Amino acid sequence: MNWVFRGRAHKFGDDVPLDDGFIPFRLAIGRVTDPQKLIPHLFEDVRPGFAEAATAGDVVIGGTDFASGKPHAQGFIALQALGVGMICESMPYNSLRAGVSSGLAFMTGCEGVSDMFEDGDGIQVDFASGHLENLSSGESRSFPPLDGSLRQIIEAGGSKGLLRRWWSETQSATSSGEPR
Amino acid sequence: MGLTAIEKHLARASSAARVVPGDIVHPDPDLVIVHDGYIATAYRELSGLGIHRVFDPDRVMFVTDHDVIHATPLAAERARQNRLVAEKWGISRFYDVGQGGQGHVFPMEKGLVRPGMFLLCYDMHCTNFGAVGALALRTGSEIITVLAQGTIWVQVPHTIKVELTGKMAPGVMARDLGFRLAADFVSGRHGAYDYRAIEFHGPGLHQLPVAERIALCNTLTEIGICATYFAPDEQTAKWYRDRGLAGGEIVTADPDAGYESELAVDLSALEPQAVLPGGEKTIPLQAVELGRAVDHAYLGSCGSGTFDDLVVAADILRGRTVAAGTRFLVTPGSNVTIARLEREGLGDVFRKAGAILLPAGCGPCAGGTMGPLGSGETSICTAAVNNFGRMGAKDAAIFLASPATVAASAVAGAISDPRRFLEERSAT
Repeated sequence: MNWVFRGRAHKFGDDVPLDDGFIPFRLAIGRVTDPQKLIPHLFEDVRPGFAEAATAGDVVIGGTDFASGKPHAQGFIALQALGVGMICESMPYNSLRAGVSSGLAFMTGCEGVSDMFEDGDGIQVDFASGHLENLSSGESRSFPPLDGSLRQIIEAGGSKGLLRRWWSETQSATSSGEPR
Repeated sequence: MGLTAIEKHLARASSAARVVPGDIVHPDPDLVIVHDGYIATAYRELSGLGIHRVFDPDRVMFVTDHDVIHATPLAAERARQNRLVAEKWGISRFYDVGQGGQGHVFPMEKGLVRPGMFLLCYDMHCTNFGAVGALALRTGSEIITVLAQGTIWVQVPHTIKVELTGKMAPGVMARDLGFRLAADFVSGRHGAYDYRAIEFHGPGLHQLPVAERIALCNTLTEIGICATYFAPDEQTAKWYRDRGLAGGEIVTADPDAGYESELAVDLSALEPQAVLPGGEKTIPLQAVELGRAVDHAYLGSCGSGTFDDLVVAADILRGRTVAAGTRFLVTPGSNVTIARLEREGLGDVFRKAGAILLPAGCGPCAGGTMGPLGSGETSICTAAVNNFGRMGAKDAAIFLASPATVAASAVAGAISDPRRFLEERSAT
């Protein structure tokens, strides 16, 4: 997995909830998990047109209490599939867990990151080292990256990626390979 | 440094000598609980990966509690699929419609959850099981990993110690304490709380029966507390003894356990509280718009549906009637509780007062699939949450309060202080 992202910053500010912020609640409660069905609706309540504007390598910049509310992962699933990363000042733990489980490249606890960027600035970030650069202003800073143990889960494709890997290893380890 | 009770549970379930906050462990659950809303989805997700079995059917339990009356054809279809999944996976412990009740309550009443157990569950309110000295952690949609592999990664949380002293005044309940404590955490008064576990200690514990402990565990969960815990004591033993059940293993914190923070609460200083609509603010009941008319009052749900909760309400209702213009819905937590209500004549108290007894389960709190609110209506209830639109119309106002306050308000037809009714009762 490439932890270095280079693209444009999409700045959102504080208190953007997962439900009806990242993605419409109806998709979360409808248990939609197909990223292709989710992507067109990313941030549509707070920033219509985001899905068309964002490309792989871009990074969402969030403020405090970002990705709050019930930890529905649909928004993270869509971001991950788009190849877009995320950096925020703070987020609830259950949302952090949903981000890790979705295999999303992200960092949290990055106090002051909102002040570093204007919407649309060029950005380069290494999610493994925590080094961050505003390519438009030239300002750079380092933040603590996510724990290595959590990054390993992300690297494996999140919880579902781990599950898929485990199942294929289990299948090849058993000679019969037949499910009960 | 010693271990907190939460750390001991996690160490033991992970076959580790010790764990420290931040560690990633893979604990082995004694039981896994999945609720009706996710059974069919879990099956679809796992089948999509080519996985057609669960790790151990005997350690998996299904419960139907969020939608027990299948109010729509779609709900009936989902329930039908749930039954097929139970059959395909060989889940014998399937507490379907009419068989168990609310899945965060009845397992403690039937002895399916006992002290010392470790559980991984789909739904966040599994934290209720901390009331009897079990540890249960929520997985949400990641329950599919648990169903397949029998475990999942868990990061060991920090633990906060809450010391309870004093005794609550009549008319004040643990639900009021939970509301106050949650609000004080959110305001930053007690420091960090996100993904923290809370252990309750102190001399004030002994007056809190398990029913009250359940309410306390339940209320704190919504703010992001990942686990709440009462080490088993005489109250816990009484809970199981009264039901003719065996207890379990007692896990307690070491005397030199390392807590992240410690705080003390004087129960005698506590007053009835109310959470204002939208869940943004909790204030003393006396500061609420007392006398505001209520269209809908609702008692039950995962935090306040035990027999003890219903007794508190019945004491207020006995010889009185629910006000005209107010509908009072009562959802017992379990079939065990319904049977006991009838045995002790309390079902009649509710019915004579004009309350509506709903089947055991989540009741209106599960998204308003039954007993919802209309536009502009006001409800006072013991639901787990009160965000706008939780129980029907988005512009309905939902106040959260204790069982005593809800029952008093149903009788008055307006938001009321239960202490007034208790005083009237003691004067007669």
